[in-house]
Amino acid sequence: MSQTQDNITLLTASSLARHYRFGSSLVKALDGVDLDVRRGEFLGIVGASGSGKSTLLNLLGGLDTPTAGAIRTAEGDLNRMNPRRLARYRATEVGMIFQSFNLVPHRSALGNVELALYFLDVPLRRRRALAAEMLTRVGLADRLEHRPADLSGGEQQRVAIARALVKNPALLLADEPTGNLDRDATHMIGDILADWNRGGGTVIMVTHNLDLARARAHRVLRMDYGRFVAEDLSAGGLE
Amino acid sequence: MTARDLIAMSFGNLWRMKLRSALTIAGVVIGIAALVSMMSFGAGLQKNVAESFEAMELFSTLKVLPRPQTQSSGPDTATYRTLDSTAIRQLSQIPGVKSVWPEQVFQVRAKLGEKGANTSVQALPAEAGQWKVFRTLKAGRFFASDTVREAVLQRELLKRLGLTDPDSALGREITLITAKVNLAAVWGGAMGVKGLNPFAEARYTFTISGVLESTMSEYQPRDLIIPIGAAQQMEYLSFSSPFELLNQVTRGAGGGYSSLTLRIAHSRDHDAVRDSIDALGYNTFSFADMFAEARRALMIFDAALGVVGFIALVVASLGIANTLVMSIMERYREIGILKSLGADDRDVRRLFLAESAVIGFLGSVLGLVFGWIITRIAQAIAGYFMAREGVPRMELFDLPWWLISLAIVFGVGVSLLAGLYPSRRATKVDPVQALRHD
Ligand SMILES: Nc1ncnc2c1ncn2[C@@H]1O[C@H](COP(=O)(O)OP(=O)(O)OP(=O)(O)O)[C@@H](O)[C@H]1O
Ligand SMILES: [Mg+2]
Repeated sequence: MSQTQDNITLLTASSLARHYRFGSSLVKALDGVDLDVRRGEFLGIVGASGSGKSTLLNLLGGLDTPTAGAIRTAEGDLNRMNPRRLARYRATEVGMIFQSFNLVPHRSALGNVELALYFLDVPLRRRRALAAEMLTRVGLADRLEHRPADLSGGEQQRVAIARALVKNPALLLADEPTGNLDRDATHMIGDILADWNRGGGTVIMVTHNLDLARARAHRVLRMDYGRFVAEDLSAGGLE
Repeated sequence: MTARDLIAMSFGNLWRMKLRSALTIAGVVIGIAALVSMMSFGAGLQKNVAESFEAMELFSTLKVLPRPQTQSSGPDTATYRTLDSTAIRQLSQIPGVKSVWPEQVFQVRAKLGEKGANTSVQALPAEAGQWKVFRTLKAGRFFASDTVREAVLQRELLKRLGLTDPDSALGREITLITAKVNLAAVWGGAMGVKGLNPFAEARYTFTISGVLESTMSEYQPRDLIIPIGAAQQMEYLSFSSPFELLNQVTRGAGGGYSSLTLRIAHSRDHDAVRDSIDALGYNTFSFADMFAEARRALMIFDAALGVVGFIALVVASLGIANTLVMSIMERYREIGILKSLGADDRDVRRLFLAESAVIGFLGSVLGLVFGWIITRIAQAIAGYFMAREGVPRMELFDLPWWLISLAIVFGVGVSLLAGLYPSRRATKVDPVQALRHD
């Protein structure tokens, strides 16, 4: 399953920490994480609720800033980037999908996908064409004008995936993409992600579904209390 | 994001919340409409008064009046200066004075063929043909010299005399009948001869050289205009009180004019000329001074009206700020999504500023329309009353381009100001919080 993965490092996180001060107590959502992600890799992350998986993805996606540690990418150190550079990193390098889809409710499927190209200064007509093409690729050619409310959960998540992939990012961050979906929809989403990965894309997927992680990922890591606790839970690994 | 994207997004967002957007925009509409209708009134008065002043070249015109004796330095009657031909010569020699002529306005009965009408006659120099009001006549031309027996008629008078086509009047003879004092009868009366009429009529024949259709509101010329030289040849009685009549009858004609009109070559000499006349012992009345005063009064009026509109706009801007803050709360997650897709603070700020600018723009444009409608209604009402009072129709409002642009710039500017705080607040949205699943 790991034919396309090469040995070039896409990003490296070292001693990554994210602490929240909550009154007098300190919540260590992330507490010293080291991670190497290779280009073309499909990485699965599992772990109990509250173990810091979302926190890690938000840091890697440049949405959040770490309390300590560094994230090195081909574009440079994320913690050295000013807010505008970081926004640019999010616009060009990273696609994100979430358990709750995070679609804009008043925009059509096409409008939502197009949104990812607004900040890349893609002209209107090309934006439309690219978005329609991407929606066709995830099997929604006949749902372009539907509002999220008029789509099933699986369809909404496919719109979200189309939005994340339309700009052809270096990295796809999926935070429990199938958390709200049934088995068939889960399977379909898994297919799309694996497909994109086979085309050379790098995926980091957080999930509670160990079977899904094992079925799709090259490597599966477990988080606990803000750290990685075991290397490789994939089909051939520990446990 | 391109400007077009921003504007499209803003319109989309406003369109989605139709009622709320409409109410917010209504605030701007009211403010701008108030501001525009009020300033349009100020601009209208200014323009129309200035225009009619200019048409009669009143800015370079002074009226010279005799100074009442009580005002002169002593009881010595020698200081009382009569406005006679000597005075005219003296005044003409003041540097900067272009011409001086006596004010002669009197009542005549005009006869054109069989038809007759009472009207007032005004004597003007031939140079008045250069004034804006007389430059474009309905038909014919202004009289050629100060002494020819030619007359220019208002079209309105011509109609009263039974002629509707101005061209057909040209070259026709008009008879002016004046009242004069019959000196023989007066003397005869004094000798005790009974039954003598102290008044007689005099007839003068003029040729119609031009027809005027004046649409000017105030300060419009009289219905019949004749050259000053020709008027001086005429005998007539003109008085505003029985005592003035008594004066004329007892002193005979030629005792001096009630006032002189004096034209200045360059308006920059206005003040110097006025002071020189004053030094010669005459009183002056200056239209330029009067206009300056009127304008000062109008400016205060305008400012007061502007304040009302401004207050309305301040209230409207609070409405805009409120709408935008509410919109931020509703679109909290959307802002997070935009940020995750690569929007930076500047993009987010622009998005909300664009929305306030669109609110301001739509409000200003609609406000202009409403303001204009208000002025039309006010004009119609004022026109009705003016017509009832016999005042010639006068346009009270003016909506010049500078006022239109000012309204839009102001409406958009105030809205942008109102959007400043909300747009800053929108940039503060934490995408991690906003995207967390419910
Ligand atoms: N803004 C915050 N303030 C305080 N604590 C926070 C904040 N955000 C996250 N945390 C805490 O950080 C820890 C890690 O949260 P995170 O969302 O990363 O967990 P997770 O592994 O994604 O859990 P789940 O599987 O339920 O999504 C949790 O204990 C959470 O309560
Ligand atoms: Mg999570």
